[in-house]
Amino acid sequence: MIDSSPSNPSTPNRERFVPLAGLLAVLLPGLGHVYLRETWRGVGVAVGVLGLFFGGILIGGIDVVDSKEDRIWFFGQALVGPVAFAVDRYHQSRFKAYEVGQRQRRRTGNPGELRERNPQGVWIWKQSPGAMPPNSKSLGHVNEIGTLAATIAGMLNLIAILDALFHRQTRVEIPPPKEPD
Amino acid sequence: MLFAIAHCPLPIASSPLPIPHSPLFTLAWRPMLDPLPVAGAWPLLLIPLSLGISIAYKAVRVGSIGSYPKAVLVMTTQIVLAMIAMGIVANLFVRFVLPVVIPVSP
Repeated sequence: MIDSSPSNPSTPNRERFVPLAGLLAVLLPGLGHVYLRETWRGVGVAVGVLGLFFGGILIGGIDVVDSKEDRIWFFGQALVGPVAFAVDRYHQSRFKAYEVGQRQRRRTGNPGELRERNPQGVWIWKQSPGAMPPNSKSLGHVNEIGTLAATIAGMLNLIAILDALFHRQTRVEIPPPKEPD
Repeated sequence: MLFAIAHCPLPIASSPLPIPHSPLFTLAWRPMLDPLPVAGAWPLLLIPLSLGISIAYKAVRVGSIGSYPKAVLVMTTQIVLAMIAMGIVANLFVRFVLPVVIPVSP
């Protein structure tokens, strides 16, 4: 059944296909439910998904969102929507640079390296004792948990996108167990 | 953070750079750019992780906003307790079952 209107009181418990709500949910977590006039649900999705995504970055640093070096994980993180692509783009362009004399792959800087432009306008790492690069590569458990949090955020947002796309006006809740008389 | 300061070695005086997880490194932490200097306290990160999962999942699942906070708390507790239980089981397996299955000569 196709019904693009945000609410249809005549069919309260039937599943409705709402493409615009799905599209809005893809653009920003929770926006699809706000469009469906379930604001508290949309706010819950936004707080949960964006909290996990940016919480993951807070735990592991911006290094946890990396489409070049952690491609498989980024597939999951990309489900957060344009926010994930913006963070990755910012990471790739503002924090990485090439090895001197190499143009194959950009990488995160190590302690004692300074990021600067060469005469051709290409960002390279230059040895500079005492310097700290613009960000640090995260390792070990902190990297694992940060990456996991950002990826789970994307997977939860997929659930929210599908819920907004195939929307039900009311939810079936499991009733509490009856007390014996 | 206090745990990290209390349990980590002091930086070497001759080193020009702060050593990761040292007090100096903790003070120089740049949020969102550097990893969180939690050192050995990393298992505690399970709690905010579980809370975030519960907030997002229960927002989609529960029927009314009235039952939402309780559902979030219950799910967070369930995840944390289940992870602790699995950690204990894995620990017992490695300590007691694995040496029987694969004996290690002294």
